[in-house]
Amino acid sequence: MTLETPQIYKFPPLYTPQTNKLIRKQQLQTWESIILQTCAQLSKWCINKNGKIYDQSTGELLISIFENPEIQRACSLEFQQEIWAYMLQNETALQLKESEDSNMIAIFWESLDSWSSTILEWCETSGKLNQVITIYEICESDENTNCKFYGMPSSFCLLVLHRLVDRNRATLLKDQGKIVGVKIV
Amino acid sequence: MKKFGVAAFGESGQYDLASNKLGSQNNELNEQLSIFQVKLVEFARQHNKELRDVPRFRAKFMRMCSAIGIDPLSIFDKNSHLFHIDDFYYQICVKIIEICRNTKDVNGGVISLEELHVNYFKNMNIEMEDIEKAIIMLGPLDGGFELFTIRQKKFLRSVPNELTDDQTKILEICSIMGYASITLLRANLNWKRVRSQSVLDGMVASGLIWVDSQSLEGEVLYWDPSWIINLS
Amino acid sequence: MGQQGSRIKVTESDKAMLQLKMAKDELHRYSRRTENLIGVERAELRTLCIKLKGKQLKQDNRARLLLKRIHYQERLLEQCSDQIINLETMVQSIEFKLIEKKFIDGLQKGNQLLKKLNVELNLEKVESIMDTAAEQIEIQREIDDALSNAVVGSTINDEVDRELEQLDREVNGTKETAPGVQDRLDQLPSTKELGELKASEPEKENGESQKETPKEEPLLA
Repeated sequence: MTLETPQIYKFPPLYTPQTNKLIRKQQLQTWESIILQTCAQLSKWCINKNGKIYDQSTGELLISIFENPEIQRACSLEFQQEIWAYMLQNETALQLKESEDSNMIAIFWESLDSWSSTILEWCETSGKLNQVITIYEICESDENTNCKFYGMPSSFCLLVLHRLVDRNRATLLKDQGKIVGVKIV
Repeated sequence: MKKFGVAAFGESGQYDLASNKLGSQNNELNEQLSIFQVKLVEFARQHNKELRDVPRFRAKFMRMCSAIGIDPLSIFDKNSHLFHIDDFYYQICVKIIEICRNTKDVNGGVISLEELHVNYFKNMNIEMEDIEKAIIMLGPLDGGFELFTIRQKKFLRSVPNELTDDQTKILEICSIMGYASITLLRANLNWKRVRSQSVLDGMVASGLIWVDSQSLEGEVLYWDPSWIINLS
Repeated sequence: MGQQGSRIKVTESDKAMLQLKMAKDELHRYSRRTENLIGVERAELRTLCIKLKGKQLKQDNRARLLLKRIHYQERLLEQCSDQIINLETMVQSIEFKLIEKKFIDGLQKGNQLLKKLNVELNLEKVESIMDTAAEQIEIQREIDDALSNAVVGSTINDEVDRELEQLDREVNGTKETAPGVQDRLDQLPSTKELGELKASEPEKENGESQKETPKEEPLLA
């Protein structure tokens, strides 16, 4: 599927950190929206810090965000760090602390609150309130293939569910020390 | 992909409710908004005379439009001369000022008319001439709005500092391939490195051009942001 | 909303459900894996097919083995799917039972409440209350009467009227009409000037009905 990127993505200087302060700020903002847009289009909740996104089933490289071979430009590692730092500060991205992969970053092309509301609404309309559901059930059940959150990685889902707990609408259930289920009311 | 369990028995439509509900709510809202817009245009047409003669009524109407998020420019129709023809241009002026302010950080206060037209006004059936007329009306504002031309391409400057001749020449070079470099400047204008570098640095500091340090030739290229709309 | 601070309880049945659902998830994961495996092996089979053809294919051991494996796995997959359906059915039955239990609980609570209310509201009590109420109303009425009689000078108009009429009857010897009606009869206009009564038809010509109109009278109404 063709990925849509804004015209400025093909503008060579975008990949060089600008010295003018105001332009630098705009540049970071542009990169943030490129990342958010790309992740939203591909429905990827967590991506590698290096910006390379692979197809889940075939394993082929879908896009390497910080590199644009068409114009032969790429963001330096330093600049990539700066972009991530900007997004972390804006809370549009979050470093996942899970031990599995500290190179993964959660991307909030929709805010956590919005995700938690989506899951809440799904619970209400499919009658899953006041029942125990597993995280696997939410993200991988065949009944939910049309839902926005289908395919969401469990680490991301945990963040969303924690937000529901904060809103006093859910409680998490553990099994052998790991959180596996949730009861939403 | 095969489905297992109960879901294997065909589409379980009931669980689509979540996304459908949101979808239908979204559609409803969109519908209501468009119906409202139509009604608003009708209203404006019916009360055209009052809107034209009573400025307070007009002002309130404008305020209402902006409060609900409907751009009054989008309900303007040149041909039916809603309200007063001048208002139409005033609205364009306001929009232009807004755009210039928002893009100042990207282009240093210099924006090509083409960019203005393509990105913002084309959808509303507003032509280049209208934009140019509106800019002329901005003249008496003394806010430093000036039209200038570089190689048959028109630009609008919205910052008080005028472009120097040197800067204009560099923008001319940029309009060919999108960028300028010390080599190019020497080749086309016979400038020495020192002069080129200082003018270029000045333009970078004013935010008029962007720096690109990854060119294959090894030297720094300086790009004009108004080139962006030419990119496929 | 009063929910602040109230922790959501996790019951034993919830924990049991969790185990059930986790088992179902495992099965689901397994089925997915198996399905993928089948896909891969079928692809392998196809490439083998492309390499060998016809009789060679039928005799090739690898191909036969591959196919047998695929069939075996597909059977496992079916069993898996059935198990998943079983688990789902169990989950649903449990949920339904929980709801039934809630229903019975509710009914029981309702019964208890009803009993309690009935105890308070037993029949004898109600009857005694109603008797007392009736008594009080009687007493009140008597008091009312007594009060109205006790005030000097205000005589009841009806009594006075009756007496006067009686007197009138005795003195004037009029017919036995109901008191008061004779007076009213005298007030009615005399019937001497009335013409003959014609049956009024609604389709009558205006002219004719006009003649009658001045003579018509409320009697027709």
